[in-house]
Amino acid sequence: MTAYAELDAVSNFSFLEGGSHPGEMVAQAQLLGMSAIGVADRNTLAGVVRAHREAKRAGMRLLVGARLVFTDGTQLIVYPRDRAAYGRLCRLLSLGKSEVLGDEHGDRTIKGQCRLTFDQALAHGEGLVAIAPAPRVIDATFGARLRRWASAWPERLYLGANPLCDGRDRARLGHLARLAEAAGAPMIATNAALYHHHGRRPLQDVLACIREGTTVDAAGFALQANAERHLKAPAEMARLFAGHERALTRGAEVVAACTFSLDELSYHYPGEPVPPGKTAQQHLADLTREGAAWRYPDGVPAEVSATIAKELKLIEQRAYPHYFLTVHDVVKWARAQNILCQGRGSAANSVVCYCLGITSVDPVGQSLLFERFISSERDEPPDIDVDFEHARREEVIQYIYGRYGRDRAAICATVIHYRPRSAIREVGKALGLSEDVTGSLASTVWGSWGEGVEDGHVDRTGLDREDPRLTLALNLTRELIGFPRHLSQHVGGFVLTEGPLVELVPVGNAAMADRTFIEWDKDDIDELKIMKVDVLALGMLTAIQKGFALIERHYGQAWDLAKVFLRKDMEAPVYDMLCKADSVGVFQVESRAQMAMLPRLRPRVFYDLVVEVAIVRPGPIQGNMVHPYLAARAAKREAEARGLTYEIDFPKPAPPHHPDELKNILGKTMGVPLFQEQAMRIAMEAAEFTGDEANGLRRAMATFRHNGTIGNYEEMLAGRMKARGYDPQFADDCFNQIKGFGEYGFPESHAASFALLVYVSAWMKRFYPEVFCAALLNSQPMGFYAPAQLVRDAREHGVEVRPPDINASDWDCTLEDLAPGKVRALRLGLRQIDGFRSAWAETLKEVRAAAPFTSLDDLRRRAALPAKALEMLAAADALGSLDLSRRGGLWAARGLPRSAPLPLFAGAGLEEADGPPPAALPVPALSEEVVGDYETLRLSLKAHPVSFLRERLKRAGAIPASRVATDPAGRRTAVGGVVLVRQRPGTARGVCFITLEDETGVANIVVWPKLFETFRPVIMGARMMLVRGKLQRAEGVTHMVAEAIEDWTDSLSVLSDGPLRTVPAHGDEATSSAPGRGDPPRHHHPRDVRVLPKSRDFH
Amino acid sequence: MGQPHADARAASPTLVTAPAQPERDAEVLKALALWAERYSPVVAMDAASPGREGLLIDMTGGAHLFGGEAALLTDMAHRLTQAAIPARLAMADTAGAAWALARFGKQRRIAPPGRTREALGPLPVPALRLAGEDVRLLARFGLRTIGDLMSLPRAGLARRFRGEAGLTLVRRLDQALGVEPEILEGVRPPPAWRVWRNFLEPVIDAAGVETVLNDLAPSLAEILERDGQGARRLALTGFRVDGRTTTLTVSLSLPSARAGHLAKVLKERGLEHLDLGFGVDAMMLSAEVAEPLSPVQSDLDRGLDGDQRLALSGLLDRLGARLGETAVYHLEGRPSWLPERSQVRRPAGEGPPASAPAAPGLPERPLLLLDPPEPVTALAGLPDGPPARFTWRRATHRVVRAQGPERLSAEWWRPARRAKPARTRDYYRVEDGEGRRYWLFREGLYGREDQLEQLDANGVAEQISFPPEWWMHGVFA
Repeated sequence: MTAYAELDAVSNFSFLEGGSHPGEMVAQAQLLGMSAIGVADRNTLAGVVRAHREAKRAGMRLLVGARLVFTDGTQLIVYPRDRAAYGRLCRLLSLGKSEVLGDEHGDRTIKGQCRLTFDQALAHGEGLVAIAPAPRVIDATFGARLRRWASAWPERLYLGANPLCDGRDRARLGHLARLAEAAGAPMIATNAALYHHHGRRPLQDVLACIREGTTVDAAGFALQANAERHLKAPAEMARLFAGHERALTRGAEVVAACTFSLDELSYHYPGEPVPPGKTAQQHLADLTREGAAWRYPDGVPAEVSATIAKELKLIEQRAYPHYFLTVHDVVKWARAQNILCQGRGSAANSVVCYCLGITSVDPVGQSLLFERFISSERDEPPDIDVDFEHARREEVIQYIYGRYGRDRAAICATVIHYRPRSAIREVGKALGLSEDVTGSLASTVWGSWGEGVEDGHVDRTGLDREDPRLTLALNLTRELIGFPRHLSQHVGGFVLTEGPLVELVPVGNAAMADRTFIEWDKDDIDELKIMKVDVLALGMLTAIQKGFALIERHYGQAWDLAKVFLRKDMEAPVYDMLCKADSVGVFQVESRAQMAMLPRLRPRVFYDLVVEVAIVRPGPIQGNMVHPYLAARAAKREAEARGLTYEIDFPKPAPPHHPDELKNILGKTMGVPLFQEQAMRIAMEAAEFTGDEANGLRRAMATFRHNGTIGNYEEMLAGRMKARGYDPQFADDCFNQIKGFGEYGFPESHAASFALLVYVSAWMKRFYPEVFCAALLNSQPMGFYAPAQLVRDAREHGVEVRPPDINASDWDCTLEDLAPGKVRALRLGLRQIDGFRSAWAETLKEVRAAAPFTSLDDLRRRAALPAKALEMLAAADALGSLDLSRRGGLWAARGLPRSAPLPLFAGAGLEEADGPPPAALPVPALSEEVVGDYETLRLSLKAHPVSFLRERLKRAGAIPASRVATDPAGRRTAVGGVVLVRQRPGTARGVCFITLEDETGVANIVVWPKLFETFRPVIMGARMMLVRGKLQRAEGVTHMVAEAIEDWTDSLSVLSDGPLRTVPAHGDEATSSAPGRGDPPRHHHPRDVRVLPKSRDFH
Repeated sequence: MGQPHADARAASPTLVTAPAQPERDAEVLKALALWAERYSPVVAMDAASPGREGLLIDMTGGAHLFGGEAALLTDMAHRLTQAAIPARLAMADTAGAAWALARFGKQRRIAPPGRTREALGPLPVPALRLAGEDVRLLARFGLRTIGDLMSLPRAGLARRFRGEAGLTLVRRLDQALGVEPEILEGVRPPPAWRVWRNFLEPVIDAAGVETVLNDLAPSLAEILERDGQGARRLALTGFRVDGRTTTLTVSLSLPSARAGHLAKVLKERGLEHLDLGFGVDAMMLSAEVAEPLSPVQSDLDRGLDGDQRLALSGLLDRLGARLGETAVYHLEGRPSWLPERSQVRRPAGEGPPASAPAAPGLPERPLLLLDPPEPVTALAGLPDGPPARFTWRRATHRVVRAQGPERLSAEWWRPARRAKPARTRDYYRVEDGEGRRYWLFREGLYGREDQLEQLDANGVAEQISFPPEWWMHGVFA
């Protein structure tokens, strides 16, 4: 058979052009018996690592290259011969992506674009074997161009000839052969493959339609005439190129010339500057020693010293000292800028990191340590993610760019894939389905992952699954899901190199100014064993840092994470508070599920918080690990209360295996696996996974959402465990848990880092509730609760909260002094006013420093704010210190002249506001004031909206929410309130949780699936509801189990209607002879019923 | 209202929904407006506020024709009820007030002349046809009824609104109160020449219509002649009892005002084309286009081309009138790879076709395309060799020269016309021994499309042979 290699093929990384994944192209080439394949995507190398991975797996020769599409539309496929040429290609593509081309597009190339010319390519062309693909229509300009290119190109330049199957291929190939000869560019046979198999033609047509913004019916010649542009077997190619046999074998020539493989990319982590005369390892050891002395002022415990020595040795073995030095440097810099940060990740749990200040929890003291924080059988780079205050992370990013330079630092890409919703939308559009149809199909997809739109869901939309177009759309959607769509930047994964980064991988501009990112994503980076530093953003760090600053300013105490953690004398009240599930606003443990867990778990020590954070997750829940753990804890508590010692009952294998093989792994968690690391180690110990198998499992876990290969491991893991005599239930649970981790993996090291923030935020809430509330409000948006709930919680904890006022409020929420000994009052900031700008608030603050504002006119003249700003202030009732009510203030503000007064008249008083508001303006009822507050501030200090409906609720038999916790369990009663949250977690088997709020507190409702279907419209739609049901209490948590639900949304609109000034009845004389149909839709009330911010819904 | 479809669906999975069809709504409203011309020639469609569309009828000085205002509304309500059209009716001194009362007042409310202010006072402010944001601003001031507004100083009130909104508010108020006039623009200019008949018993068949037409034509001819006009286009409109109208229009090549001629052209057009439904209770004959009754002047500027164009279009008119409007067509190119889909018939009346985009380098197509293709038996090499010999229309041809294959894939997104799936086609241009050139194709690729999966009697899938087939698709000149 002929040795044929296809060298003109694209993958789906030529977005909206290629119809197959890079791996599919490679696998198909192997299946067809090609000797090699070259995948060359349009101006990118983004897909090459994936092709490389598949090629390595399949033992297939892969040529890495790119299809250069020049600005004039001409194309040239290039393959580097060696590493140096590859570097030039990367540089060239980077140039096209980021260099200013001096055209009308301005300074920066638009994201995703690449602008290149042949001359630029020529300048980088050394060592690049080139193929000029023949266009569809061959004209004189092509012949001339080919001659010019062939004589100029420094390497061999071939003419890529492909058949069109339009009936005239013989003539075409003959013509091309003559052109090739004349130009001195030997002809090479290709098939210009767009997909690996002809069955992908429909999908490729759809991609073309998406690209052209048209539908298959209208696309016409934008589609391919036939399905022939797939990879073809060498024999088939030989038949098509009969008479041009030489062209067939030239592919092998190119393959032989291009020896470059991605495996050659020997990556060098940048060397950190070290003091002269020292190695990086020595420097790291010095820094660690200094750090240890700082961390342990009373002398470094022997255990710590020993661990440090062990860790340093491992770091040296693996040659990672530079990596630790880098993280240390970034963290040190952030500290100096007063940016709060914390490391996490497997390597972060080392004593070295604690001593270097990367983390704040002493792993020895907390026995968090893993004997191998970098597993030596895992040939993977160390993993340290550092969280920074979300508001200031950009500064850190720019510091890293500044330190390593743009040519040595860039952010990883994230490949944005088609997901069910986006896929069905675009496929539907291309097939000409109406937006209603695609919209309703898309709406049935819960969550963003899945393999397609399920049939049951389709039926629920009322669409006909038998409709052929719909069937096509659904099938094509399944194919399109998982296709790359575009590249975006990773949230903060930095790649740093010793040499120029642009010779390792193409680098382009991100959509955000001052950012550059590489073409490869995290998995690609891992595949090539490149190290990255994750610089992430965390809202809670911002809040904690703002809280520390407020405490320092108002109470004169300086705190930091480690200091809080070390104050053991303050611990008990913090844990007491958490045990009561008093955790609104506290990091991680404020969700309803966490709040339900707190009283059951009763955390008393730090490690309990680590467990708390990790246990309410899909992994432990799906693995049925929660109840065994709680039961074991309860048993232990009981045993200890009776003065006995509790023996943990570890799962055991049958003899001859050692019965205690899991003791080491599960000792800290009462014999129940809770963390990802434990599951992995169970796989290795109890299921005897080899290192390779474990790596495969880990990868399957990480990529579970992409390609569900995890199923392959079920038999391997659970089966082997059963075979070794483990309880079958335990074995299955272990596997289910791993599956659960696949969705949201949560290793112990992360849990430990998060637990510290749980503790510190809880500490702040306990001892400085006013500071905590202000800090959270000043860091919004973040967390689980809206400002209304945070403020309410603070007031319930005795904090005096004051309304925003132009003479008192800053942009941020502030603290005001009360009588000594009392906590400070919280003054709401102007940031709470919807739409208000920080610049306006700054102006106000500056101007009023001279003298407080005395009137609206004074405010307008001195602060010179736009009319809109004054109106917002009035609407938010922030003119109280001017003796202006909301309505009066608004009337006055609306009456002011629109523009700033002319200088000539400024002092002349000619522009007086037009007098006091007319007496005719009706005085608002309190309920209207509350509605007004909610509309502008999303909260009200005056009253709770539900309080106005208390009489009605009472008549309907409802008790206040505060009584839910105290009324006897088992009682049938009712509770009514506004809907704060509805949640239907995937782990709860269709159970829906609703949180209602009234003026006395919140009530937790549980709706069983059967009832859910009955009351679905109310549950999904109501903003206020009345729930009848039975009180159920377990371990200190009371729920109401719903039996009937009423929609009370309409009653909310009464609040804004004012004091019984009802509009005349309409339709009350409905004499229309077509009863029921004669009434036009009721008019809507002028004020939208949306008095309250929408509930937060989680699926 | 205003709820996303997905939310509504989530709340109520069995919800029956239909896409909004604003164009269709407008059509229906317009149809109703035309029907309402039976009450007054000035009927305005009010579609400014979506969801509150309606009709405004200028009844100035016309109510007495129907027995007074109350009787008019009763009659209107009665007819609409008969037609199963739900409606809310109101009558007032001003269009604005009637609009407000119909939508926010009591059913069939009549504001007595001069009492508009009292009628409007208690209505909510949206009754003034205000934008949502203006209504919200008023609500923030606590101003909820039109009465609240009336008691405030105009200038101070208007000043509180941005841009035009203040003026609009005051103008709407003034319009509703009749301080400022409002001019209604009818759905169509009332035809200058029209004649009417109302009947007590509805006319239900063409014979009845003919009687009415014979009655109406002389009256129309009379007024046309009085004005020296001849009708170029005639419309005969029937007002149906179900609230719709039915119209027959006909164009005349030359203006005419002869009663007999007018009636005759309509009859020739076919009175049976009128869709009378359950009967019509009024009919109108109108000259929609009329020209002075004088000899037609030829267009001097146009020259010969213009005349030829006129002649051609005249010919097309006549052919169309004789053969039916769809019988005369142009062939228009369309971008599709499939030959039979690459041309479409376009009615001649729509003018010459635009030039269609062609595929770059598309191979030659035959002059005569057979649609549908005709079956052929052929002998050809595997897998995709050209035919060596073929039999078409019972004549066997030996192929001396062949070019191909040109491979065209089926349009997978279309449901197959026949029971079997559409397959890939390999086209060949061939020449037989006598120099005649044909275009034929093999449908189905060997090895890829020659098997068909079918369910046998037990519902088990089995592969059956589905050999490629040969077809004749065209003949070259």
